[in-house]
Order: sequence, then structure tokens, then C-alpha cells
Amino acid sequence: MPFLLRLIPLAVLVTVSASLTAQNIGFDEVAPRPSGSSPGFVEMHQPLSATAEQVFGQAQPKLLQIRTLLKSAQKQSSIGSGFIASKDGLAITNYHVVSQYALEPDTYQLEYIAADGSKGALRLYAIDVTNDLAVVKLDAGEGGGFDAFAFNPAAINGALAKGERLFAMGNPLDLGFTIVEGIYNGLVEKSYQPRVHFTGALNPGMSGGPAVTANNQIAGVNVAKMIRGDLVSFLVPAHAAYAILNRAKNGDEMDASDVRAEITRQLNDWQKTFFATLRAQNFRQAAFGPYRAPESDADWFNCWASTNSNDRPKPRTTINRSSCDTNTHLFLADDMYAGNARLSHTYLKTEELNAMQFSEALSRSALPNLPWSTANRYTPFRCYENFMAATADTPDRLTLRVIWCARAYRDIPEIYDISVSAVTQDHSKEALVSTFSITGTSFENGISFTRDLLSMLEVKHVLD
Amino acid sequence: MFWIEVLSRQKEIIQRHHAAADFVTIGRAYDNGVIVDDPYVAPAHVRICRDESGAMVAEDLATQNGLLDEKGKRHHRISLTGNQLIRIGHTWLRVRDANFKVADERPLQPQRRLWPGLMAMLILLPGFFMLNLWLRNTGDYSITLYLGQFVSLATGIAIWIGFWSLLTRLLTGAACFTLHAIIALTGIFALQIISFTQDWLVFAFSSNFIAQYSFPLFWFLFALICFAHMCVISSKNTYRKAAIVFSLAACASMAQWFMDNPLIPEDSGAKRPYLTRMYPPSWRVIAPETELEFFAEAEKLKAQLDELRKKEPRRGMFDNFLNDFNDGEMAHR
Repeated sequence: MPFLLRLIPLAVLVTVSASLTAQNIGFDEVAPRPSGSSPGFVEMHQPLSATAEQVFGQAQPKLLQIRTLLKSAQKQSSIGSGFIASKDGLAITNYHVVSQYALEPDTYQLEYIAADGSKGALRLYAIDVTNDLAVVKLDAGEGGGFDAFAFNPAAINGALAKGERLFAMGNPLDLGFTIVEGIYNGLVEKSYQPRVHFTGALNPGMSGGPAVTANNQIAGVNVAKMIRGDLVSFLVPAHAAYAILNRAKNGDEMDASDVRAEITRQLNDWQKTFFATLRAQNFRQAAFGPYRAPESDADWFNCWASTNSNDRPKPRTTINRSSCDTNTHLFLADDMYAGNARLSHTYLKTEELNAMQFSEALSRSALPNLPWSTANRYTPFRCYENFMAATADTPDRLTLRVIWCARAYRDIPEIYDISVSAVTQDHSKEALVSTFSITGTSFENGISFTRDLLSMLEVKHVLD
Repeated sequence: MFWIEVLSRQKEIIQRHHAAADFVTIGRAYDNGVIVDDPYVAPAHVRICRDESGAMVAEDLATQNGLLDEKGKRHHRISLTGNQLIRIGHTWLRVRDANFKVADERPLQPQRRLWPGLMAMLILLPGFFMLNLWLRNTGDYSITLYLGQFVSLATGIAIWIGFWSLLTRLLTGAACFTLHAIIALTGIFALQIISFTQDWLVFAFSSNFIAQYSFPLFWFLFALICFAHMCVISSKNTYRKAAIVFSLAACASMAQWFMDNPLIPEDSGAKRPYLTRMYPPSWRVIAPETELEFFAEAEKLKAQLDELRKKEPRRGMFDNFLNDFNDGEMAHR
């Protein structure tokens, strides 16, 4: 199972109602650890609880709960966490914590609540949708400068050692500011988007909160956890947070049109780099019966195989499928994600069915995957469909039935989702169905990527 | 000498009474020439006789319910032409003189042999239906699938034929079951063939036009079936019937077109791919496009999408539901 596929959207989207989640979690009493060193932790310089206590004590004034309020009702519509990262009051959080306000500032407003209970408005200074980060600014208080977190230099350089103890903080489920001990486990392998693998319990509401080293320096920003898995959580690496903070220092407050322009620019850059990286990683031709179909060599474009050949009763059509997913999901809004590419090849072969029956079976597996378009985010899909032939100089190329569909993002010009289904048409009792979809691409890249992939669909004729 | 005919409400002859004299009374009592068992008829209700000029008349014998004409209007005396109907109580009567002119006999026609046609359709339709089912069955064979589909088809057709036969029986007296059965079976067979052909034409010619605009053909065929059934009932007013049936079909086509097109917002996803039903590759007729042609066409979608993007989205049929569904509570992030 492609576990990462569901990871980020599920984790990011843990937008369960408070009461429901509270029931699920329960309020089990956890016996306090006796103070003083315990035999199991002799290598620690001081008792663990004391470190956490010290970290939290220092961090507390710099922690924020960030609420998105519905302007008309003056009630919260979503909550997350954040932390102060500069003396002039810039705070870092996740983009998905502030996305409602960022996209619709007329409907929503942002507010922070500090650990001492003080409240205030927030203004948006920078966003980074590819790393899910945002920088907001607190209105300066009377006392002048803010107490701010510093960044851990080793974390910025990615030089933290696996096993380093980190402390994640935030306000889980609106229960109050909390500190969580956990372990730095390096960057997630097989991930296009850099993400720190943090072994510790992140919970909804902690998004945007800091994860710090024992000396209270930023090592990452809480962003997601895996629903299926224990204590498997993810942080945005410190270097991305550091970069956006520096950008915000030189920037101005953003309004909705700035946000849209910025998302457009970032997505555009992202997809350019993404396709360039994908191309640089090379495609190999995987074999499916007599067919050859492209699969990426990139380890983050991970493929999973499945078959029905062991089903009982024996299926009348054998279906072997390989599905590849980049597992990248860029959160833009609750009902809008981009930056994902999926590719699947399904090889169907029958000895029992006749040609007509086989084509019927093919009809069912060769539908393009067209997700529902929410009218305010996307245009509906538009498709071009036809049969496409090999040219004379490429005898291995196939005649294909291709359905090529695309939809546009209403708020983001020049960015499209595409979904393609291609079926080989060279044999009446076996066929290869290739489908792929890309979210958040330029139209040109969508076309050229399709062209590249389709040109790699070949058949190797067996010579009798 | 004349004949008195007692008619049913449907104006079918129930009894004929021969009257030898030029004078006869009709009523419930046993001293009448013709006895009618209708509690609304007086013991002596009406008298049939000849007037001064020798024409036949019916005269009311001063009864409570009176003597009524075809329209239910009460008269003391009605002159009888032979086609004139009179009513006493709930009983319809017609009186004809012995020298009433009847139509010439119809020439004897060789009897239409309907059974071979019916038998042919009884083989063709289920045969094609089953063949189609078999060709589309890609899973395991299961007798219940075939049987179930067959029974539901047969039931549907039986109800349809039954309806028309009953209607014909009520209106004309004969059910014409065989003729209705042939019409229904042929019609449904034609619908199936056309449906199959349509799917194939879409595939063979990559024709979006056929996929989108062939539905009036089905309405037309349906109207034709109904028209044929109506012609069995009676061959009168053919043009009027045709006009009604085919204009109804035209209305239905228009309604469907409106449902499919302007009424449903563009955003509702009503436009789905059409090349989804596959046939064996050798069933294609036209040559496939080259890669260049294909992508040149695909690139044109960009302009379409950008145009759509500028338009304000309209509310689709299902958006209300989705909006309700999305009404969440507070969200933790």
C-alpha cells in the first residue's frame, strides 16, 4: 500500500470536530514519571522530564495558537499553532493553517492566542505552498521586541544526527499548549518533497507549531502525521522555514491577489522543477506481456503491483496492474490539492473470453479517472478523445485509443489538472491500459509529458 | 315488419326481436311485444308504430323516465330512420325496417397469416437479447443473470402487449393480440439493433456527434411503435394520430436535449467522455489520427478551459448536496 499517498492529505486534513476527536483520544490519566534518574535512562545528563520542563518553560512565551475566525460570526472555523521567529513579531506556521484567510480575507480573519492568554490580529507576510509554510506578523506590543526562537544551524544544514531528541510543541485539539518528546529520524526516504520523519505524537491542532532541539532551537515545523501508524509524524525541515522567514523580513503584507499570484508563481516553478527532475531521473520500459510501458526510475515515484491471477474461481481475464504515485500533495485549500502525479499500467489478457467480451472488459477498466470538480475551485473537465496511430518509422509503436482530459484552476491561471487514459488497439484478446493523471501542471507540460509517456508504449512482437 | 335491436352501452347488439306487426310496445310487463329487463324501464314504456306518412316513430307512453334520444334529451316522439338510437331507462334500442339498406358484403380476403411473423420475432428478439447479454458478460457464467434479465424483459413486453390488446378489445371488440405482439417485438428488436449499432458507430468513427445526438432517433422509433399499435385499433384519423404521436416524440427529444444541455450548468460534469465503449480493434472503420493531429486537437482544449475559467460557475444539480455535506464544525490543523 502506498502509505505516503494518504499521509499528507489525511494528516493535514485531520479536521475532525473537537468533540469527536476528544472522545476518540480519551483523557486517560498517565502516571507521572518519578523525578530523579531512572535506571533506563542513565545515559541522559539530566532527567528527561526536567529537559522537557526546561524547554517548555523557555518556549512558552513564543508559542501561539492561530485561529481562523469566520468574520461574520466571530467564531473559529479552524485552529492551528505557530511560533514567534523574529524580534519584530514575525511568526511561522503552516500554510494550511492560514489558507482560508489567505484565499478569502473578506470572509475570514486571523487571530493568535499566546500562552499568557493575550490575543491579537495577525497579518499574512509570506506563503510557501510547496513546503506548506506561512509567515504571519503580530502587531507590535508596547514593550517593543518579541522573544523569538532561534534556528538550529545543524538542522538548517540537515546535519542533525538520527536519534537526536526533539520536542514538538503546539496546542493539540484546543486542549492547551503541550510539549511532546520525540526523535529526529532524518528525512523521509522516497519522498520528492523534503520532510523530516519525527517519531512522536503530533495531533490535530499542533500544525505550525515548532519542533526544537534540547537547547530550544528550531529543528522543524509540525505539519503532518500518519493516520495508520504509531507516532509517525512529519516536520517541515528547518531550512525551508528559515528561508521563508528571511523572505518575509524583506516583504510586505500580502492581500488575496498577492496570495493568488504567489501560489501561481510557486506552483509554476514547482511543476517546472518537478518535470525537469522527473525527466532527469529517466524512464525505464517495464514489461507487461508483450507490451513495454514507461515507469520512472525515481525512487519517490513509487510503483506497486497487483494481480488477480490467484483469485478463485479463476478469473476469465487476467489483470496485472502496476500503479505508481509520486506521493506529493501540495495543499492549496481544503478542496484543492496539486502537485501529484500518478501513472498506472494495467495489462489485460484473456484466453476464455471472445473478442467482443474482451473489449467489454476493456471498456470497464479503461475509463479515465476524472475526480469531481468543485465548481468554485475548478472548471469541469474537458476531454479530447480519439484513436491515435503509430507512424511508419516507428513500427513498435501502437495504435491507441486515447482520452485526454484537462481542467483548469479557477484561482490559479496557467495551472491545470490532466487525466489521460490510453488503450492499446493491436490485439483482440490482450491489451495494455495506461492511465495517468497530474495535478497542478502547466498545459504545455501536461501535453508534452503525455506525448513522452505515450511514445514509450510499445509492443514487442514475438517472432514465430 | 321491422326489427327491434337491444344494444349494449358499447352499442353492440345484444338481442334482436322480430315484430311482425307495424305496432309493438316495449316495456317490463309481460303484455308487451318486447320485454326489457331494466328496472328503470316502465311496465309499458314505449310504442313503436308508423305515423300518418308511414314513417316509423317511437312514442313515449307517459312514463316517469321518458323516451330519450342519443344525446339524452327527452322527447315524446322520435322518428326512427334506422340509424337513430333511442334510450329507455338504461337500455339502448334501435329499430330497423325490414327493407333497411345494408352494406354490400366485403370481398373475402386471403387471411393474413400472422403466426410465422410472431414466431420469427419470438426467436429473433430473445436471441439477440441473449447474444448481447452474452457478449457483455465478462465475469462468470451464471444462469440467474440470463434468466433474470430475460424474465424482466419478457414481463415488460407482456405488460406492454397486454395494455394495447386490452385497449383494442375495449374499443373495437377484438384484442388483435398477435398483431400487437408482432409490433411490440419488432419495435423492441429494432431498438436493440439501433442501440448496438449506435455504440459501434461511435467507436468505429470516433463520432461524438452520434453519441450526443442520436437520442431523437430512439424517441422517433418509440413513437413509431405507438403509432403502429394505434393503427391496429383503428385505421381512421391516421394523419391526426401520426401528428400527435410524432409531435410528442419531438417534445420528448427537445426536453431531453434541454435536460442534457443548457439547463445543466457546464460545471456539473454532465459532459463525460464518449469513447468509453470498446469493440474489437478490427471493428474500427476510419483510420486513426497521427500523434501530431491528436495533440494539435488536445491543445485546443486550453482555449476552451481558459474561457470556462473566466465564466462565473453556476450552481449544479448536486452542489446543494455537497455544500450541505461540507458544513463542518471547527477544524483543528
